[in-house]
Amino acid sequence: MKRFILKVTAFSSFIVLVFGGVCLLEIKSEVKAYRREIIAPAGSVVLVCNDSQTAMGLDPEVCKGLFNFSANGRTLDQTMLMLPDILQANPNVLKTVVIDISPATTVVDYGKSLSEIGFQAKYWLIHYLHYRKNVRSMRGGLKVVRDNMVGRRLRHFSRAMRGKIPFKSSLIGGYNPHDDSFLIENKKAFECSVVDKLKACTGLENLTADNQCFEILDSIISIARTSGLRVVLLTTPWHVQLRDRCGEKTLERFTAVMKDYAASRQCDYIDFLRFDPQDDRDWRDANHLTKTGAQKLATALYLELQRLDAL
Amino acid sequence: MIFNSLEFLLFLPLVFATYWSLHSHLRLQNLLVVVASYVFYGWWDWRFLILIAFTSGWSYVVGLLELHRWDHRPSRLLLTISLFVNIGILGYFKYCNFFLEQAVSLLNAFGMSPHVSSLQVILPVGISFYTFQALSYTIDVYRRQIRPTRDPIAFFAFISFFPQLVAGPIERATNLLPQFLTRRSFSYPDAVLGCRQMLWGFFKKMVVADNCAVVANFYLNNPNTHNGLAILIGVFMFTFQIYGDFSGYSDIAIGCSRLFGVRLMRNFAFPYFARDIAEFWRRWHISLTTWFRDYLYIPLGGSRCSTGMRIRNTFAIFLVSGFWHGANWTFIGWGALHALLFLPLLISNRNRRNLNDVAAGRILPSLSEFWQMLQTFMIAMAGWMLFRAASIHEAGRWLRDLADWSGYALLQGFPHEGRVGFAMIQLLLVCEWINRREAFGFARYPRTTILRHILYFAIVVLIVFYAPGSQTFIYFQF
Repeated sequence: MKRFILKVTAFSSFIVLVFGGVCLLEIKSEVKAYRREIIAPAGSVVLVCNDSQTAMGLDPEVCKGLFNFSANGRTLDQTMLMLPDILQANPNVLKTVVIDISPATTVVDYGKSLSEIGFQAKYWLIHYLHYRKNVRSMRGGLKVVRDNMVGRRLRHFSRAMRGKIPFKSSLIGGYNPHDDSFLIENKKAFECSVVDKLKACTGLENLTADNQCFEILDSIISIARTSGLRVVLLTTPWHVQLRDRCGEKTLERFTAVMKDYAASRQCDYIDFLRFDPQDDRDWRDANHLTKTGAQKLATALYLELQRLDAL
Repeated sequence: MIFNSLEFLLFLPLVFATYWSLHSHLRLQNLLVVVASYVFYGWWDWRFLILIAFTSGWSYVVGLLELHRWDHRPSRLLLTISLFVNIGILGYFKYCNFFLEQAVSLLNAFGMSPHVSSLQVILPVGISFYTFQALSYTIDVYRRQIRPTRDPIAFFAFISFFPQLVAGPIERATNLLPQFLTRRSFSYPDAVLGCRQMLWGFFKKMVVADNCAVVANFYLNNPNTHNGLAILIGVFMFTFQIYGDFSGYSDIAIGCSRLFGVRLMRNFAFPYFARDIAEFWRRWHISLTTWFRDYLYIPLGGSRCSTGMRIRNTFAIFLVSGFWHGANWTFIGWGALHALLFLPLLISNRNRRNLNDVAAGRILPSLSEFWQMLQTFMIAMAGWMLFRAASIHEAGRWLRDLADWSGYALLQGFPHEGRVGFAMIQLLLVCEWINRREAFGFARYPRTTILRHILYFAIVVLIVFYAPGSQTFIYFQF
C-alpha cells in the first residue's frame, strides 16, 4: 500500500508542478497584458469595471467617454481589488465610476468542478501576486478564492488559454459584444439561461442590508471617493421572462434595498432592471444583451449620466 | 456528489485512507462504507437518505424473516409483499405523474375533463439502481441462492456502496454481499488497475461524452436548425455521448471499487463493436440486461416454451427495460423497437451466433464483420434517436427531417466542441478496438514505466484542457 500511495502522490505532485509551472508563465504574460489594458483611452471619464452583463451590455462607442473594463465572470470583490490599480494608472482622467449592482452581481452562487481546480489555483495566484498589496493576508487571499469559486469565469479563462475566445474578454477586461441571440436561435438555451440565473441567484428573496455584497460595495465606494470619483450604482436589465419567473415582489424588494443603500451612501442609482430594448434580437440570453442591445443600453446610460451631470 | 467534482477529489483519498487504516476491523470498515456512501448520496439532497435507508432496512428485515423459516419452503407472500413495497416506492417516485397524465388523456378522449394536478415529487437520484439491487437480494433469498445476512451494516453497505450507488452497475447480492461479509485485503495490482480504469472513465465522461453532449444539445435542442444533416450529426453525437457518459461512469465506479478491494461486475463490453443486435444487448448495460433476464425473462419461461410465449417474453423484457429508463412513451418505443429487431434473430435461433471475439486472431475486422458492425451501429443510433427525443412527436419530426434530403445544407456555426468530439471519438474507438478483448479500453498499457506515465499524463492533459465543463451524467435521471 505504501508503494501505491507513494506512486499516486508522486504522479499527482508531478501534474500539479507541471500545470503550476505553466500557470506561472501564463500569469506573467497576463500581468503584462493587464498593465497595458488598465490605461483608459483618451477622452474617458466614466469607468465601468464589472461582469459580463456590462462587458457585453455597454458599447463604449455609443456612450461617449465610457471606459468599459468589465470582464465575464468578474465578481464585486475582484472589482474592489482591481479598482485601485486602474485609478492609479489613470489619476486625472476618470470622473465617475459606475458599479453594476444587479441581482446576478450581488447575490450569486456558482458551482465548482474538478476540471476547474487548476484554474482556480491560477486565478488565486494572479490575485495574490499582482494584487497582494490589497490582499493583506493569506486569510484574505483564501477568502478571495473561496468567494470566487465561479466556474463560468474559469471556463472562459481556460477557453481563452486555448485561443477560443479573445484573451481580453476573459480575465483582463473590455467590451465583449456578441451577435447571437438565444431568444431567437435556441429557445431551449434561453430557457436554460433563465433557470441557471434563478438557481445562481440564491438568497435573492432574503437580501438584507447586512449581506456581504454591501461590505464590498462600501469598500469600492470608499476607494472611488478617495480618488475623488463620483459613484453611480446601476442595475443592468433582466429579460421579462426572467423577471416574471423571479417574481415582481422579489425584484421590487431587491430594488428597494438597493435604493435605500444608494441613498444611505449618497450615491446616484440608475435602475435599468426593467429596461426593455423592445426587440428579441437585442437579448443574448436572460440577462445579457447582444451588440444591438448594448448600443441601446449604452445610449440610455449616456442620457442618464448626462441628466445626473456625471460626465 | 458527482465523480468529476472537487468534493469527490477530496472525499475519495480521505475515505480510502480511513478505510485501509481499519483493514483489521471488518465491521468498522463496513460502517465507514455506509457512512461515506450516505455522505456521498446525501450531498445531492439529505432527504434522499430516508428513502434508501428505508429500502435497505425493509429488504434486510424481509431477509431476516426468511432466515427464520430457512428450513421451510420460501414464503411467496413475503416475496410478494417485498416486491410490492419496493416496486411501489419506485413506481410512486418515478411513474406516478406519467400514469396520472395518461389517465387524464384517456378521460379527455372520452370527453371528460378531470382536474388532476401532478404530484410535486422529486425523483431521487439512482432510485432505479438501488431498488433493483435490493430486489435482487430479496429474490435470491427466496430462491435460496443466498443465505440472508444477520449483519445489518454489511447489508446496508451492499445496498449503498457509493461507487455504484447512483448509476450502477446493478450488483447481485450473490456477488457483492459476500464481499462485505469477508475481510478485504489491499492489492497493489488491483489498485493500480482501478486507478487506470478510473482515469479512462474520466476521459470517456469528461472529454468524449461532454464534448458530444454540447454538439448533440446544440442541434437537437434547437428547433430552428432542423435540417437532416443537423439531426444526423446530433444523433451521432448523442450515440457517443450516452456511451461515453454511461460506460465512463461504470469504469469510474468499477475502478473506484477496486481501490477498496471490491470487485464489481462488468457493465459494458464495447457494444458498438457488436455484429448484431443480440450481441449488442450482451454488451450494453450488462448488469441491467442480465437482471431482467434472470428475474423476468426466465421466470416467464424464457426461451424454453412455445414461439408465441418466446415472443411475449421478449417483448415483455424489452418494454419493461425501456420503461425502466423513464416515464415516457419514447422509452417504451425504444424498447419496442429493439424487441422488433431482436425477435427475428431469436425466432430463427441466430441470436447466439456471435459469441466469439470480433476479429479474433486478426488486427482488423474482415469486410463482412465491418459491415455487420456498421449495420448494428446504425440500428443502435436509430434507437437512440427515439431515446433522446422529448416525445414521439419530436422523434417523428426528426425522422421526417432526416428523410428530407433538400435540407442537407452546409452547417453554420459548427461548435468547437464538435471538432474535439470527433477527434476524441476516433481516439476512443482506436483504444477500445486495441483493447477489445480486455475489461476496458485502457487495460493494456506500455510495459515501459516512462512511456506508461507519459500516457497517463497525456490523458490528464486531455481531461484538463478538453473537458468543456460539467455536464450531468445522463443516467442519473434513471
